[in-house]
Amino acid sequence: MMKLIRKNYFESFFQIILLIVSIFAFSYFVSFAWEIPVVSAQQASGEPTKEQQSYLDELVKNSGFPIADNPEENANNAFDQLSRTQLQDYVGDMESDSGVFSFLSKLLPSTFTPPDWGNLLSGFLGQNGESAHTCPLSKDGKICQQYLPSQCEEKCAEECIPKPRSELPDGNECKLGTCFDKSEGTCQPRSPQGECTGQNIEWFDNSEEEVLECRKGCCILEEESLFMTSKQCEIQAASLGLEIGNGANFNSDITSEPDCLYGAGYVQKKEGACVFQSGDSNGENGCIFTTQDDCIGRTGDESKFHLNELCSKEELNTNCEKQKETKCLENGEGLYWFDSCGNRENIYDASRSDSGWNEGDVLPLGESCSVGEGNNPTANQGTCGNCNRFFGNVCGEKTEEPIEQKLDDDTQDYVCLDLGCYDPEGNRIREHGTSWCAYQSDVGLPGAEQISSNFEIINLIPGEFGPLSDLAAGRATDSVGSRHFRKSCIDGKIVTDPCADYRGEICVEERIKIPGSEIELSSAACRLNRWQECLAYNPDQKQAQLIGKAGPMAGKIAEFLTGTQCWADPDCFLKKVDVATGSMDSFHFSYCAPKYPPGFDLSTEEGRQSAEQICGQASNECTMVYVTTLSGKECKANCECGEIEFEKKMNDLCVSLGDCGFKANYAGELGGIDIQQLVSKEGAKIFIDPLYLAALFSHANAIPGEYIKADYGALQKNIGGGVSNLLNGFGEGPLKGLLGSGLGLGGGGGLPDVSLGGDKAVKGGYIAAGASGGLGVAMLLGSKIASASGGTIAVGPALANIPVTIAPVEGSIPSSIAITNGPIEITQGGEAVITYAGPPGAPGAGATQSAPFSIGPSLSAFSNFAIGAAIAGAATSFLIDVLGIGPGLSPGVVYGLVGTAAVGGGVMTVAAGSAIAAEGGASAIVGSYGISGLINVGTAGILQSAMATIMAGAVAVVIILIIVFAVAGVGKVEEKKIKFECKPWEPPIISLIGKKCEDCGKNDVLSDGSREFPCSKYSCETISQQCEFIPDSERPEVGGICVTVDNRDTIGPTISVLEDVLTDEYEYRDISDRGFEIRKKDKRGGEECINQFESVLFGISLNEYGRCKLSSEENADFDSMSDFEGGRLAQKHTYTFREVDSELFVESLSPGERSDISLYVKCEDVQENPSREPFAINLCIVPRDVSAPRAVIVIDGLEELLPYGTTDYELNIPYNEPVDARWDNEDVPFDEMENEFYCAGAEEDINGVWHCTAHIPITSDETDVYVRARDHPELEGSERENERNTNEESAHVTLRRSSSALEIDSLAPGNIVIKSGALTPEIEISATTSGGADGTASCFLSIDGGKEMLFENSGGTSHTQVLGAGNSALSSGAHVINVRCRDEVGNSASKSTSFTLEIDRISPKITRVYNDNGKLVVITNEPVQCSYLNVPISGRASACNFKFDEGNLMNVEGGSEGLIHNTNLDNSRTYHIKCQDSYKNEIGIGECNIVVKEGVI
Amino acid sequence: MAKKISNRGQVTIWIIIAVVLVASIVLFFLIYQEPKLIKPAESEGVFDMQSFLDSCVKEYVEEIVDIIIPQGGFTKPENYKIFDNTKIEYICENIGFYEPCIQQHPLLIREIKGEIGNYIVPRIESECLPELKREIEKRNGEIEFLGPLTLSVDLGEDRVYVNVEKESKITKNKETRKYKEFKFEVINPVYNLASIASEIASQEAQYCYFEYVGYKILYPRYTITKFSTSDSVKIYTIEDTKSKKKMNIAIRGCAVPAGI
Repeated sequence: MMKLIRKNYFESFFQIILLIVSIFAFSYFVSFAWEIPVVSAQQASGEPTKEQQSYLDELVKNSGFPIADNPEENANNAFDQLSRTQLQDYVGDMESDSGVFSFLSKLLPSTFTPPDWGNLLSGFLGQNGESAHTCPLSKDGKICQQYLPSQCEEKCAEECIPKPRSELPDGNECKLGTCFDKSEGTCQPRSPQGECTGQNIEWFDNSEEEVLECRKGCCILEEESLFMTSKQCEIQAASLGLEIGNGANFNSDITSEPDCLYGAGYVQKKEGACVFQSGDSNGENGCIFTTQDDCIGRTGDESKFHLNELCSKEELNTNCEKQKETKCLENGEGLYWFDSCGNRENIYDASRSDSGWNEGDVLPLGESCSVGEGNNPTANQGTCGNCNRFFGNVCGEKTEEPIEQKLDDDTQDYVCLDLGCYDPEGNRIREHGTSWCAYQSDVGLPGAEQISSNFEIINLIPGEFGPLSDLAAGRATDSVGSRHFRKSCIDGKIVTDPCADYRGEICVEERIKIPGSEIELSSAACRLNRWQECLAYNPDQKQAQLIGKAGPMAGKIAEFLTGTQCWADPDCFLKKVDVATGSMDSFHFSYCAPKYPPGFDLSTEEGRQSAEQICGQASNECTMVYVTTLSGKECKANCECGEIEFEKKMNDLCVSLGDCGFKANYAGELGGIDIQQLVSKEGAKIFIDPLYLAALFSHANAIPGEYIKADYGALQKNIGGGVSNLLNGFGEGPLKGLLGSGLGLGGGGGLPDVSLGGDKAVKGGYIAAGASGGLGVAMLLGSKIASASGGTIAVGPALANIPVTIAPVEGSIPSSIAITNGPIEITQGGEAVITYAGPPGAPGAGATQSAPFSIGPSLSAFSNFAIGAAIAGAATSFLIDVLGIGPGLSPGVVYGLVGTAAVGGGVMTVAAGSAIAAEGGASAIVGSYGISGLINVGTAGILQSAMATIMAGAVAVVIILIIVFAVAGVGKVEEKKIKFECKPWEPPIISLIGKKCEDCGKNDVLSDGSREFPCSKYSCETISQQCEFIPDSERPEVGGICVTVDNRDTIGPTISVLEDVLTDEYEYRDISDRGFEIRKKDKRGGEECINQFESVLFGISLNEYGRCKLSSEENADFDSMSDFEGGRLAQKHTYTFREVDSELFVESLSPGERSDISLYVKCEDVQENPSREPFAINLCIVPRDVSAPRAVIVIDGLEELLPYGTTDYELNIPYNEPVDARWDNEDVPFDEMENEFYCAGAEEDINGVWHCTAHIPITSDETDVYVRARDHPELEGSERENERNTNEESAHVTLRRSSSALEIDSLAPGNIVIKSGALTPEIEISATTSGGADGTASCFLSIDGGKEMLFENSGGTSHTQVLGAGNSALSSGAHVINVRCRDEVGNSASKSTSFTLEIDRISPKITRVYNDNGKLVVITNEPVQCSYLNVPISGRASACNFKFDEGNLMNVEGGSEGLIHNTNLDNSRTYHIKCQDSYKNEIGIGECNIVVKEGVI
Repeated sequence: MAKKISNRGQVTIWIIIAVVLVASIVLFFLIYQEPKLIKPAESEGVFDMQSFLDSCVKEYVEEIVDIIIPQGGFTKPENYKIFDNTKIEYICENIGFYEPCIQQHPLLIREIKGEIGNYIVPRIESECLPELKREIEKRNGEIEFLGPLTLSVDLGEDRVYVNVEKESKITKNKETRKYKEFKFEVINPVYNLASIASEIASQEAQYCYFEYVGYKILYPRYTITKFSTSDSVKIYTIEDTKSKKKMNIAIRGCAVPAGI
């Protein structure tokens, strides 16, 4: 019995063990069959590691969107962050360790030591705060700049401070803050503390806007308003004798400059007629239109001022007549009438019956006519003078071009000119003061505006970026070489400001439509293109690794944050690359890319290096997976990577990163990059998609009217709302919880390899990410390779795995498939990998608990079946896995195999169990559990045995099938890698569309319709590799010239004749591509060659820029040849050949014989490619003179004027060679001429000419002289006499003698006393002349016997010279002026005069003053005029602070010769009197001659 | 008898005439208010030094302003950019990339005052005062300079104020007058131009940008042009359309490299 019990116990124990095992096995089958994810139990602790936690904190806190527990706070934080980002668009948070510098720090690994990047690196490192040192003063005078430590000694005049500027301690001289100058009231932000010291100077460690003293407001003074600080206002007021609160006001509520100047702060001057007694006999008053203060200052009588009345008002009885003329005010503010006294009246308004006179009252501007109307800002131009710059017109002289602008009244010369800008055809194209953007190509994203306008809708969709990404599925479109320009219309002229080249800046624009008008005003600005920020939003390599470890939710959140940041940044867009069509494919990722891709300077190694680094981020590799199935080889994963979509999407990303990939430049030409190299192995398919190609090419064309919105406010609002929606429910806790779950379930690994099919290692997403980053910036890459079996999921350790790979519900426990860590094995169908979803031991515990209470006969039978089935099924699955055939089998087949094996195993186990039971007398009945009734093991032993046999056979078949499949190669996995390489765009080698380098800056239609723009190095050198930019130092505003060179061109320039350059009497002959001849056209002198006295200018032209040299030797070495035009780089070259130059090229010429010489020209292009063969220029030279002598000056027809009384004239004629020359009064042959010249011998003079001189007797007023010459006098009488050349025609010279002598008719001043009050008085000396040749002459004068000088105005018959400055300054005393005149002929005349100069520099004095019956009488020491003021002029502290002209004139008593002056005396007033003599001498400003107060001194 | 009567009448007539005459005289003195003699004004001195020096000082102020404003406000720029053969001082500069410029002359107006003062002081001493002395001596007067020359320059809207302290004594015809200081006021827009230059530097330092088109609209008197050189230096030229004077300044900040 005990034995039986012991046996039963043993049996029970065995069954329990089997049950437990089968539970595990079945749980696997069930999950496998229904695709229920099973996760690994490894490291299911639920808590992240320290490193992971640290990263999570960083991710949450530093992602740019601080996430708090409170969703509302989240939204605010996000909004603040956005605002900060947006507002810093112009500046950027450059000194923080974020943004571009963060990006750079990511880009430059710590071990990366770039070559000498000079300032670039210093800039980067300086900003990044890593290595830069601060130099208080550089050797070239720069203050507080940053240098690399290695540069300090070389560049810094002092010791560098070993910290970057942003980390300097308080009190350091280079710490930046706001400098406030109390004595000026001005503030300067970003001022080094050390430069901001001194009396009344204060330095604040704050930005300007934070310093209260620096806040500007509206300073309202009596007559104007100014936008300034309160201190400035105080100073300004004090200068006018005012105080804040007393005559002046500072309104800090007005914070807008325009509002202050022209809006709320505008000060309307209180003006009116200031009437005073004129003293006119007709009793009319004098009047000036001025302010009240000024009037009182002038008249001392408040009643004289008539506010808002014009001087011409009849009631005022003034002598000023209304509307005498129209004129503009200063700065063109309004076309006004002016009265006959010169006083301003009202605006010209022809629409009123009195043209705006308004019955003599001031007509406020608001009540005057209006120039603009409706859509036309100058609609009433012809009738209205109410010009206003803000409305686009200004007063000025009427015009004819480009359009006629005038008043309807043709008698008036001024009009309100339209300040708008016109095109050459006279079409009005822009408003004055507006600015707009002009682009050379399409900009931003295709349809970017539509995306922006849909932001609000899009952001209502929380948690998903799909719609946003889909809309931007295109690419950044800015073309290579294109630039943004900001244009402005100012005063009718269009000004072009290029934004920083290489698209370092972008042009943004705002437009406002004028209500009720069709007019749209625009305002544009160039601002920093923050493209680096976009790249920085993407996780770097380390972050990607951590995200990968953290699990899919971390990836999801990371993408969320990246996407949110990316889209919130107006310069970025989230580029989504997803070529997978099935949910199980892996190749998809998102990447934050610049919306306005930067350009690169590939001309430098540094530039090329950076271009490669940036472009390389879009290089990627997609692994296609093929599996051998029963029906053959099938692609199972990433199948679309071999399709064109892959290339298109990758190229879209590539071109969005900068000047990378396959796209067109702004000229519409593809770059030199070979698309075939972009996509390896498969080759490029892009070419077969004409629509895609057309789209790429179309981006080269600027889209008319396109502009980048600068409406950041609205953008912030939309994005802010979207973010807050997206962030709802995403508190930090839940977020971490999610991440924690993911981490907890994720489990260990972290290695990049993915095992596929057990031993098939495949580089998964990690590799793709790593490769794509190139520099460590990883893609948000989902990498999951799916098995077609459905039960085997190969999970790559995706970096920041995109949630859509598995899409587990947020908050749920991620499935095993989502675990993206480690060497995840691909588990094939039927594989019995033990993985667990729950905590270890939990299911087991359940099973353990059930065992003691559930074991019974029927359960025992079922257990036996289950155990057997489980073991068999697991074994089969294991076998499939081990043999690796799973991937090649369909799920049905796998289920069939495993099921068959399981049933077989179960049946066999039951049979085996029954046998045991029978042995013990026990009966096992399968009861109420599951398969009850199917098998009665205890009563059907034979049947059991038969079934067991059949099932054993089935199991054997299964095993055989599996072995057969394995032998047949089913399940074999193969990979195919498709690699996309993103490389820097390179200019085309040659321009296929014929765009010339020289056309740079011309004829490219910009988005605003203009065609001209400054050609820059970038725009030039992207046209083709042949283009080289040569800056124009003389005209920097036009940039420079773009010349054609070809770096890869080995062909030198082609030389041809420059036909439009040649000395007149010569011609080119036998022109060919190998040279030409130069000959005389008409064989003058019987010869077509150059003789020894001639020269010839000729030219050659090159087909490209080059330098040329020439030699007489055809095969001369280029370096040894003579420079052609100094070796200038040009396309057109000229050269002047002289016979004497022949010595340079020809060793000797045969005397007297014609010599043909060839000059061989060789040229080199910029690359020093020589011209293919020498270009021969043939010249013939005749050393023997066959030409008649020739005077080197034109003497034939010469009329020589001679002085009066001349009896003999020396005629001198220079010849080109030694000659015998003769003359006669008759035109006769040489031999018949009676008179000979005396000619120089063989030696020419210094000028290379030979002179012949003859004395011609002058016996009458007109003498005709005929001259002929014969060369080679040395041959006279010799055998070669006949070789001499003689002039066949005479040169006729007419000698005309003046009929009268030159006379100085008058000379002034003469014998007078000149009085002057000037220190150096100006005295005009004038003289008139007559006689001589024609009365005209040049006259000279000398002062007191000094050096002669030419009259300032002379040459005619009237001569004047003003003395008084410089050497001609005269002192007091007697002076003698000697004048000498000489005409062209040689007639001369002299005359003298003298005068006495008395300089009076003494201001007049008052010698007596008295009250004469109510009249204030003053007597002066010299004839003067006196004026007075009673009170100070407005704004001046003292009543003596006035100039004579500003005072009230005193009457001069008749007969007193200006010595006695009077005015009515009011004893209650003070009289500040100044007198001025006729020399304008008056006492200094601030002083009075006398002050009479209340009738007493 | 008749003759006696006649004589009496004659006497009466004379008496009447005499009475009328006396009455008239009395009346005259009663009615006529004798002019109140006022002490003559004090002599203005023997020579108007202020006026004489005025032109001399003005000339040199104009001269130095014309020298400095094309060069950014300095006689001898030290940290400059050469543009159109002119050395233009950097008012605000950062040699690195991306970061806004750093004020190199946060107290520009003060420095300009110093430049003007440094230029005209030696010239007043070597040119103006000797010339004054010669002029006075030519007029048979004498001048004695007693103390050192101190000078201060102040700038304001359209004005340069120069205050020269130089104690001096002029004697002529036994009359002596002492001078202590002279104040000059030169019409010149250097302050206006320098203020705008400072404003540009301020804007550039904060926003990497100065909206000169908008400035032109607000202040039509001034025309500002900008030229950006290939090395990211901006040359601003500020022109006062009223006086036609132009000031140049150089600024480098927020430079953007090609690529990275």
